[in-house]
Amino acid sequence: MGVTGTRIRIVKASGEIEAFDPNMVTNDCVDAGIDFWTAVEVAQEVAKRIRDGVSTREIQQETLRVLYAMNPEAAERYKRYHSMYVRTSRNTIEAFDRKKIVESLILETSLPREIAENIAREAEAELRRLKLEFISAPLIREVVNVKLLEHGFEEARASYTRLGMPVYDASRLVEGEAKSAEAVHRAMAANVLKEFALLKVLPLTLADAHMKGDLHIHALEAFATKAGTFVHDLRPYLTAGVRSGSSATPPAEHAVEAVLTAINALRHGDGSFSTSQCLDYINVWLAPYVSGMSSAEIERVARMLIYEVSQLGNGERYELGVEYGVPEFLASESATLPGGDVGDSAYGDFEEEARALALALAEAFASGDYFARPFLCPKVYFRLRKEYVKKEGYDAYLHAAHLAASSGASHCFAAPHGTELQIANYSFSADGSLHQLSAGMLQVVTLNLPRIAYQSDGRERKLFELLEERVRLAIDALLLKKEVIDRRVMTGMLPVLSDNYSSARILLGVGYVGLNEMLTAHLGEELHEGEAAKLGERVVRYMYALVEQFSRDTGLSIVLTQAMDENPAMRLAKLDHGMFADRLVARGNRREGSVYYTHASWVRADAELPLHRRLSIEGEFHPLCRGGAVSRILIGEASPDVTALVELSQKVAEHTKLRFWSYYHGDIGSGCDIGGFG
Amino acid sequence: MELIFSHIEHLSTTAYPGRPCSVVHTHGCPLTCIYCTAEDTGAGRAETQKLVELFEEGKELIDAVAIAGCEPLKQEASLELAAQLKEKGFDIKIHTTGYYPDVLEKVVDEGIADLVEIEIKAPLDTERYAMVTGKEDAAEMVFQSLEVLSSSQVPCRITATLAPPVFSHEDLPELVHALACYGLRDLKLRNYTGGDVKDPWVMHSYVEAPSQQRRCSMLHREVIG
Repeated sequence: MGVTGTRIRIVKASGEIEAFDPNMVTNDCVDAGIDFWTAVEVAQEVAKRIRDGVSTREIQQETLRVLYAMNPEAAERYKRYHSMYVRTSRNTIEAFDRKKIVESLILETSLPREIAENIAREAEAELRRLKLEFISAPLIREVVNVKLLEHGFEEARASYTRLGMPVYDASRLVEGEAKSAEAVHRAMAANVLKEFALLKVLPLTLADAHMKGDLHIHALEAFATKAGTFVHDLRPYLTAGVRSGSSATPPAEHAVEAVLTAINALRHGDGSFSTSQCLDYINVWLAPYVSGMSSAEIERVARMLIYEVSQLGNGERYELGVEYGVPEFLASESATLPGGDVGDSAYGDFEEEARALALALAEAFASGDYFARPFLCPKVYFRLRKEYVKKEGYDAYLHAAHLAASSGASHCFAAPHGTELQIANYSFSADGSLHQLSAGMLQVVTLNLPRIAYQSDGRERKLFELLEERVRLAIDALLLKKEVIDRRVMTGMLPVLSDNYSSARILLGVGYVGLNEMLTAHLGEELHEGEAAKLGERVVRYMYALVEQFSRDTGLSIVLTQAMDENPAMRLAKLDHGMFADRLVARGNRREGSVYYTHASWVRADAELPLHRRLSIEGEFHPLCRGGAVSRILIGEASPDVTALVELSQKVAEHTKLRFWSYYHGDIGSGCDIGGFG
Repeated sequence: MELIFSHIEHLSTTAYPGRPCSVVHTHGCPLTCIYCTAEDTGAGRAETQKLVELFEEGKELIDAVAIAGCEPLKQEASLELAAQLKEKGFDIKIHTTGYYPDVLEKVVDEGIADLVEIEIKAPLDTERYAMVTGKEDAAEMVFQSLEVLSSSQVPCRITATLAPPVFSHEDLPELVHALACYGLRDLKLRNYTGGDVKDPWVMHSYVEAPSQQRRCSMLHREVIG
């Protein structure tokens, strides 16, 4: 027999309001070991005494008073039982309630109620045994998780556990390890999202492969949420303006508005892309907007673009692609004009403007910022084409571009071969439409090549078997990512990507690290020694054939890539240092544990060999890596002769297979050799 | 003929003006400059023909070679290398201390160099030059080398390494005057950054000297017009 309800409302610790139910008092008493009839009597008495708006805490105090009057011993029991309070994840302090554990277990793990109740009871007993006055929600979860594991519910534990980071790590971040407050927020969020991806999104095989170091899933923190990189085609934005959640801009009328349109495209893109965004062919798309402007005005537009992009975001990477004028393949494309009109004019009609803007951009990069410091962001792809050689002013443009590249920034030079189409650092065959030159790499998964050599014990057949196995594993991860992004696009979580998803060239990338160390471990020769390069080529060609096959099978564009990310080179080498110490072939300092692998299929940076041999070896891999490949050319001088650099670049473009290259000067061997000039 | 060298710098953008080039650092030098930073290991030995083949393989990228020191003209093989490369169409620079004017004359006469660079080690007076280089006749040899170059058609560049107090910007007017007498005005300055030159074994690098370079240009204008 219970007590019927009243119209009194109670205010819970969380601030929620609900109708007072005397049965709550009865249950609280029964839970504390008081006999049912006494409990009912107490509840009736409490119901008479309380007023509308009473708090749960006041109800407990009233209950205690009534109990003391009726049965002091029962009152003591009640007090002991209900003196355990919980600091909840809603930032409230509430009395411990086992039922909440039961309900959360059922909701989050799908365990049957009976088991959930049993686990909750055991967890409560454990918590009460500790005689803590206050317990926290995380502590309860830890105890419940231990009980789940004790009963063999490992999967339920994975679902029920919390994500986060140790307090120690958080303290270090907050107290100075991070460069800014924003970086603290990002690092903490990244930590949670990485754990989430490993626990809930990736199947155990893939999560294990990443954690053990067979492969490296790039930007793991964004695996469940964002795409990796994106190259925007600015034309649709210039035609229709930029639409964000709260407003829509009109089509740009003037150069300044066109620049702001570009900036807005990048800014909104931050919500969709985790790694980098690029505005390629930027001077071509902006050329109609600087028509009629003086050189000084065009220079101002160029500087504005660079300053605006450089001040965007919080450490995101932005890139620009610059052509010297309008490349032939775009000359007859209809131009988007001020006001968004796509009329009779073609981009070829704006050749001079595109050239002037290219020169102004290169010169602005060469001049650096207000304090003449180099712009580290955005990075630029300066494209060299044979057709530009005869264009007036090309030498001055190349000089400015190389001056910019030798001033401390890691700008990149690009040379499309034949009719291939480059969009940022991706290469495509020229059979596609030119109406949309946007492209995105949803995800890159990098293979640990040296480990394959360690595991194959010098047996070549085994080496290729393992290679195929790892490529398949990487592709499993990529297909999963594609599914994830498909869902995010469907739900509108990635608005900028959603707008471009059907029209952009979407790629999935298989990367690789340490070909040099793989060959050393397998053959005893480095990539540049003896016959090793031949096996190196076979390895990469085999990967290429596999990804091409998977592309055909799935209808997706899966490509090889030499993703410029130093993390896998270090993380994977470090893991191998632990697991294969006796066989490890790595660079760096073993004693200090700061080991790393050579990037992708680069020749070791400090290897003694002529430049042409180095570029010849590395150049063989460039056509195979449609998802991006860049070689770096070491310049011994801190202040190189720019005229000499220009000549070298022109020769590299003409006589090597390199698609992308950059220059650097530095202490080779002191890091993983990825970085800029300086 | 076998060339003994310390190392080959496969790419330099500054050794040959405005050109990407390779540099062969040959072994051996008659001078013992107190601030010398050259690592003269002499670890490399190769037939000049082999070196020519090596450079020829990469000629599409680099078609200029600097034959530099220590002192390249100390070895006859340097001249043979220069001649063979020249024949293959390379542009050749000889970077010398100027200590072997006779050999330099041969280089000039045979037309095996497109550019000669003489590195001035100290103020051009016999005593101070001897103090820095350890050779009594070093300055005299340099004068003779400058004479050889002034009467030839081969472009010439002079580099001076300023290493105060033994060679400072105060010595520049005299140097510029001396060079002007030979009709030479392409003077490039660099600073020795090793600190105290009394510790010649401290290995440090050089940096370009822009401020002195400007001053030097002004002097050129004053002296030569």
